[in-house]
Amino acid sequence: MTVATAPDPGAGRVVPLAGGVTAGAGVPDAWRTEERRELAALCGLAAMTPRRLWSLCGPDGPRAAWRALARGDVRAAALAAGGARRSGATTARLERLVARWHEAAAATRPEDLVEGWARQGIEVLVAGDDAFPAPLARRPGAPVVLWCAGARPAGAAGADAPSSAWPGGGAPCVALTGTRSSTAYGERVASCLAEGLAAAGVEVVTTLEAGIDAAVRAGALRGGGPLSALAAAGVDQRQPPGAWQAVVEGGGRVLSDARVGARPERWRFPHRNGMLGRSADALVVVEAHTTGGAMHAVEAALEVGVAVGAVPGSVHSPSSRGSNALLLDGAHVVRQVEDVLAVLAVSGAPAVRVGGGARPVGVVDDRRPAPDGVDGAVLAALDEELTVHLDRVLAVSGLSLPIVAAALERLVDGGHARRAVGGYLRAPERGHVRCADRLQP
Amino acid sequence: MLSVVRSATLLGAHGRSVTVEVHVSNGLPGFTIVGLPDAACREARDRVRAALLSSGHAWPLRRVTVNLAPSGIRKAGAGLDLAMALGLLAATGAVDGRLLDGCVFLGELGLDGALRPAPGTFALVASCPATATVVVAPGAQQDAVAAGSHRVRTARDLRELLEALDGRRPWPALRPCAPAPVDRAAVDLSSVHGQELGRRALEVAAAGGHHLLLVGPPGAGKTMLARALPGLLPPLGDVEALETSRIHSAAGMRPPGSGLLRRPPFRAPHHATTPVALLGGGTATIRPGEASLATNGVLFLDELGEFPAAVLDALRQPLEDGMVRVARARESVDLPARFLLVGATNPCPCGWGVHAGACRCTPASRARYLRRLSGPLLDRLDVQVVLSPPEPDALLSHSGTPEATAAVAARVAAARARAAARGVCSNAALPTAELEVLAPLDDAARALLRRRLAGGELTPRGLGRVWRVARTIADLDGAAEAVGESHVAAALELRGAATLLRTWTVPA
Repeated sequence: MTVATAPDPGAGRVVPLAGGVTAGAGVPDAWRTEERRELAALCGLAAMTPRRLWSLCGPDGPRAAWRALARGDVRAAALAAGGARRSGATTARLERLVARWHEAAAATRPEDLVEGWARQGIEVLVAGDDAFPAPLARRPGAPVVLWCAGARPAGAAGADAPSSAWPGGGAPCVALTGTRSSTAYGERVASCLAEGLAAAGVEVVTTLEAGIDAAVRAGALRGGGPLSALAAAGVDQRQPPGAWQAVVEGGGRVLSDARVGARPERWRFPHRNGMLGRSADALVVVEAHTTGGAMHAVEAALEVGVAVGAVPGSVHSPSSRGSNALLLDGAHVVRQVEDVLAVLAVSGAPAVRVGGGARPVGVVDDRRPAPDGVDGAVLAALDEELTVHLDRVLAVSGLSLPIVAAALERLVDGGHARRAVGGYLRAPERGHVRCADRLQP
Repeated sequence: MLSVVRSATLLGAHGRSVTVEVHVSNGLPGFTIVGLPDAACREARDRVRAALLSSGHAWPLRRVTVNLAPSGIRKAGAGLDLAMALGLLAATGAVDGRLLDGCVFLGELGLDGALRPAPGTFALVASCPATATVVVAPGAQQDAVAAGSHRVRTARDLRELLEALDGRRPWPALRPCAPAPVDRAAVDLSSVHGQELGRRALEVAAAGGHHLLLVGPPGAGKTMLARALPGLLPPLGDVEALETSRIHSAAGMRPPGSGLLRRPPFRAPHHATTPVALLGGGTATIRPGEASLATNGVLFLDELGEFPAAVLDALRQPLEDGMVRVARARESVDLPARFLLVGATNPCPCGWGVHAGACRCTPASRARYLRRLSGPLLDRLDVQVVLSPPEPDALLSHSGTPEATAAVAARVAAARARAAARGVCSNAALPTAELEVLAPLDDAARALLRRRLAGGELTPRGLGRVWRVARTIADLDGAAEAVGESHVAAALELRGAATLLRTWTVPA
């Protein structure tokens, strides 16, 4: 993969995608405002694809298409004529699909559908809305509609009005992602980058996965900035539940182009990762294997010309091989928040708002007394970023197991160390923002 | 016309006394064996006939009936050949029947009249009355001598045996026991580099009789550590040595010519082992399984997760009761099975799950892998540690040889002596009701346990386990009467894998 040969972002071709409904050349304003509910209802039908949507709406628009569906006036032939048979579907299958759509359209009104979503706390974003991720809407292959849970402004009239209350609207947008099997180093960098960016007012986009992305979400929420997390399943599925809840309750939002009720099927994950790569002004890979979700995002980003950065990692760590390889291929080197801001500046994103809600970065408040004696000797054997196995603590300190175990117990209790899978980590000295200035040369 | 000769047969791991009655009468010539002989036993007819003819005796052309009493239990194998041949000779008057009184005859016969060892001679002799003279084949004499205080006689073949019985020639001299064969697979701790935690886990397991679980990536040294464990256990006492030797003999596992087994056995069955092979049983004869063979030693189950769930769950009864009861319609046999269980497993399908960044297993696949470990079985493993492969420095530096097995075994023996003073064979057997008295906790230790219980990191069931392990650590540490905070902290540390497994088996 060579970063230097990214295609011209202005090429503007429609990227055919398996899921979601793409905006292509852009959603007409009338559809977005007056026929919004019908458009959302159409996108919410099972197996709706971009080509099928454009074939259905034609020149008459979503409202007419929905009424025709409800009356049963739409024939599969119309879909076929619109070029919607690219998926290889037979006429018989298309007939069955249209019959299902007809049933759904006849049974519900778009108003009720959208109201029902609103009652579940789900809002509809149409490409072009202020709250719709602006970089995503600009790119080819953008979904027409995103469903959104969380970050719902209090007293919003309902889902049928374009929302403009999202604090991230108009802000530059950075996607941060990485591997699920992260190291303590990667998690620290991810959380500290996310916190710094969020504090600087940059919208942070990531996914709902574990590992690096979890650290990104935690950091962004701590930084108090706008956080969008992309879900692979429909937003009502609340999958994975812990991450979903943390984002929504922490003030972030969960976005998905999968219709409400869509299960987290396997193919949705790479699709979601691709969308992540296109939904920001810059994509930063913190720690990644040479294959996997983060690389799907990188491929998608390069395809549409999103700037890609990567955080250097240990040359020994398998989970840094992918991110280090990206650097070798010419990705921007990201060490700290300022590096990301520099990437944003050259990629033509909106200027970063400084001040306003931004919080000071780099405040360290560590009043804990440093442990001494046995505890100090044991703490000296630990590391902030590499999990240290008890074997090493015993060997380095030369103390007996009961003494080391009691010391570790005191250190963990006092917040100086923490347990990790397969050993112990030294706790960072209060606060994660501190690591940002540590990374400076 | 009638003669009575004493012998013995195998039932599970025990011998059972058998009386061989031979009756010779007029009638149609024939040879009938009654009293539940199995196929090998019924074939005795042809072997006895050939052996008698080869030894220069006549085969009686009369009606011969052999009864094996008690007739209710099944007689297995060819070990009764010798008794039948002598009974026949006595019944036909070729030998004076009084010479056979007070003797027990154990052995197969070759067609040339040679005596061959009966399988399970050790167990058979152990079941004979202590005053009896035991006559066995030359190949089994060491077993017979080791099995008890019986007078042991041996002869090469039937002719020599009859001459010795008559007093026409002296009994052949007994050969001394060969030294016990060296266990080549045994590992000395001085060759285990690094692995500080693993070494301590072994020491505690050996000292307290605590079952052990080793979790670690491939190449971390799980098998090596497990093989070092028998060396840490104290040598078998007389009672244990007899019991273990008897079981090994009954299973046909003893090398010929060896004396009592003094080293704790180490058994490592493969994960394809069937429940019957592990626990004992079988259709014709009940053979002790691997669990019984590991009695007073170590049963090592490598790749614990690969064992079928049925096999692992079947181990729960022996772990509780110290024996396996194999019940058949006709009989029920108790096989001893008191062993130290050592399980080893990878933390996840790829094996590198405890190393941050190295494992790419999904939480779901990890949970699926670990769920195959039987929960109730894991509950019985007191010491559960996560191992890490030794660091290159530890492997290559020759700055110091790691502590050898002998030094650790001395500490283990001292700790075991403390446990014995409390009236239990090891701390793992401390009754829950008496923990407060026998393993009193000091205030700091109590506070630590309360914190862990309140935090949900320790379950009420795990509490007793940690408590006993802490007692063992205190015993190893010195004379401390009360169990201190550091001992409890170390015991919790030696249970680190339990927390890991619990978190990983619950899907996120």
